[in-house]
Amino acid sequence: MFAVARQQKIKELLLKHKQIDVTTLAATLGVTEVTARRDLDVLEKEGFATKTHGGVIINEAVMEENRETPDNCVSPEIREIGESAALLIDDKDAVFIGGGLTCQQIALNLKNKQRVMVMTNDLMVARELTNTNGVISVVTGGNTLAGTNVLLGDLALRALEGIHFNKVIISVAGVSFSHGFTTDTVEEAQLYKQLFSISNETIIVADYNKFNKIGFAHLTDLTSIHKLVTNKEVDPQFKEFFFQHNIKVYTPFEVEELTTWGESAGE
Amino acid sequence: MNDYLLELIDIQKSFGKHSILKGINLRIKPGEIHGLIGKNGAGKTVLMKIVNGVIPKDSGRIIWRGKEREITSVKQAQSLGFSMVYQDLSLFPDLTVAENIFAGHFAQNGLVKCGVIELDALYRKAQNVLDRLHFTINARTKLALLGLGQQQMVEIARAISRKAELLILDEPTAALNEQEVGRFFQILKEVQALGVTIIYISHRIQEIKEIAQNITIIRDGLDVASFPINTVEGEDIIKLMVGEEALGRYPRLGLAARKELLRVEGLSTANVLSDISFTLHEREILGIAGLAGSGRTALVDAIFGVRAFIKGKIFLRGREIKLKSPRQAIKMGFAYLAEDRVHAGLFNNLTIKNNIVASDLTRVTQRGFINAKRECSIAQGLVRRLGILIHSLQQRVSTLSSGNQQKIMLAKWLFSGGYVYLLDEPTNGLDIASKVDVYNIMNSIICGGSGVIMISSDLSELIGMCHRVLVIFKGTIVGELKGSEISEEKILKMASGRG
Repeated sequence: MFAVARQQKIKELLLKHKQIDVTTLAATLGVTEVTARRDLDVLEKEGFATKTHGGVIINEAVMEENRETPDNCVSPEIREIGESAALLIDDKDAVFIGGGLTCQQIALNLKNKQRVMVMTNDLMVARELTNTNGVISVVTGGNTLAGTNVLLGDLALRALEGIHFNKVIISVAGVSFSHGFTTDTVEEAQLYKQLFSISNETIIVADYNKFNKIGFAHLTDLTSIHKLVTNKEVDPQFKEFFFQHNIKVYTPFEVEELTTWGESAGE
Repeated sequence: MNDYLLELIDIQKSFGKHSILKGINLRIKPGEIHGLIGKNGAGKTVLMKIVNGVIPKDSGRIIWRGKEREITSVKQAQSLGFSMVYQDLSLFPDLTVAENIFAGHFAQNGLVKCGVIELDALYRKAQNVLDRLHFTINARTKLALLGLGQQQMVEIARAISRKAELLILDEPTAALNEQEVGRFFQILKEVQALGVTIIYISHRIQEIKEIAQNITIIRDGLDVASFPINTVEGEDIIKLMVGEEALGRYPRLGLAARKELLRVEGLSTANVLSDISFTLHEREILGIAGLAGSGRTALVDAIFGVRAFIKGKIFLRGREIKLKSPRQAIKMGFAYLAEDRVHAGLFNNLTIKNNIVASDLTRVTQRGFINAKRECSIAQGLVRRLGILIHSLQQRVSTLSSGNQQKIMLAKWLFSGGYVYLLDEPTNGLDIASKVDVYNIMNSIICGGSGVIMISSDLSELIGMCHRVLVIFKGTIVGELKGSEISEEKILKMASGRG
């Protein structure tokens, strides 16, 4: 990794953890402590953080500035899922993207697509897609679910009349062997069930924390979907179950960063 | 009823939750060569190991010469007159041919006097057996000096010396070249003429058609058909072997392949490969299909600098490279996951962290010493990223499950920073969850712009994961399949030289 990329990474880590010690930092980045300290010198000069004995603390002012960006509260596991699920959308697809944090992460990763039609019931997904050239976005309408950006209810359902999708991608609240896929509200389950019937392919996104949990409303059986995007940390039993039931399981692994390590070999 | 020498009725066998044999029936007539055919993992070898007393069956009946038998050990199977020759030969390379033939049976053959083996008698007796079979092998030769084909003959001579009435051969021609196969078939006919019944396990349809009188096709632990060989076409055999395949389970990514990464032109080696040409692109998984012994491993060996080639050029990102050793290949960005994890891939007695950094020690070395802190932090990072389950980095790799060992191998290559990955049977012997992980690691590798060449005997896996598949037969590429053209039927047809 180049120094600049490494410093960017340190900034991200600091925004998340506020402070960090040099040993952990060096281990996380795969560099020596000397190199890590050199990077911290640069950040201190920039006024981003202050070095302490054995570690570094982010400056308050920087923390304030960055509070706005929503990215900071999204865990890396969810971000990874967003990146991977976006790879399953091809050019010229007609896709429905459901509501929630994970789906918003998918929307962030559609920048390179061409002529993709996206319908969504999440206002944040729609907002993100307004800056994305290759994507035409349509919002369902409906009632907002309290405290979220998700639209549901009769109006949302009516928006689905007379249309068809190649793919529908939605996130769920729970995945369990006993209760299948579940959502937090009956209204979500109702809307998404309707979607399954007007789409060729069902893709579920769920980070590993959603497994062995049960939401309020039953959505569908584990075997009735086509693809599942989740994290590698998911219980092997689930990986085996889905494989044996002909369902593709995608779990991203962080390997790309590693291959760029080669460039820092000469340090 | 008494028409059959051996009858297997409704044999079932499970390993843990996995049902391997789901009720197989097999009927062998006296004096015939019976072909047992099926894809890898169909259950052929397991079935024969049950007959030979190597592993116990869960249920079902074995009837030998009209009498039901419980076979509980290899010794018992031998006393009934069974003898099995395994795919990987079980001979002693440092002993002579004669010693190998009678190993374990010196006393029974009257070769021991006063606790000492009578060498003269031993050689005479062994030579007798060899001569009777018209094998031109000297009984006094050290085994290691023989070629694989001749070693195979020694195995057969050993079986005959034990007065085998039923000879079970598991993929006997896998390691033989064409001439050797011809000679081998001649031998089998001679053995058959001695009154020995033979069960011939193979997935090579051509060979079975040539040598067997009757065949039984096994698929997913069931016998799907059985008939005299002359009543059936090769094409139908393939269809029966393949059946309906579940391909929906493989997490393939439909990435648009980009620039050319690797180009091989007219590659030939001294005796295995001839005139191999192909390209690999960035973000692509290229499959290589072929029967064992077709040269698929030799091909990746040649690319990685393990095997010298006499003709041909290799281009990496458009520039010609000349690799003389694996060390150079690693430097250029090649990573080679060998099929044999245990012998070729990992240092079994070293710790996890030692193994991970082994592909490029210079990166953890300072002033001639390994920087232990750096070694740990790198290994720790990789173990976390690949989700490898371990107790400690100090653990020896031999204590890990095969799935985790395979991930350590991948970690090792990720550390070396390669971008052309040569994976030989990457999921062989892994549990399902680990397979799914390996597929996703492959996906992550290509997402980063690297390319992957995957060899696999599991055709569904090749079809499910690869963007293109090259089929290799007797050291040449006989076909290339893309996208929706890739099917098991087509691959099997080409791989058996019928494309």
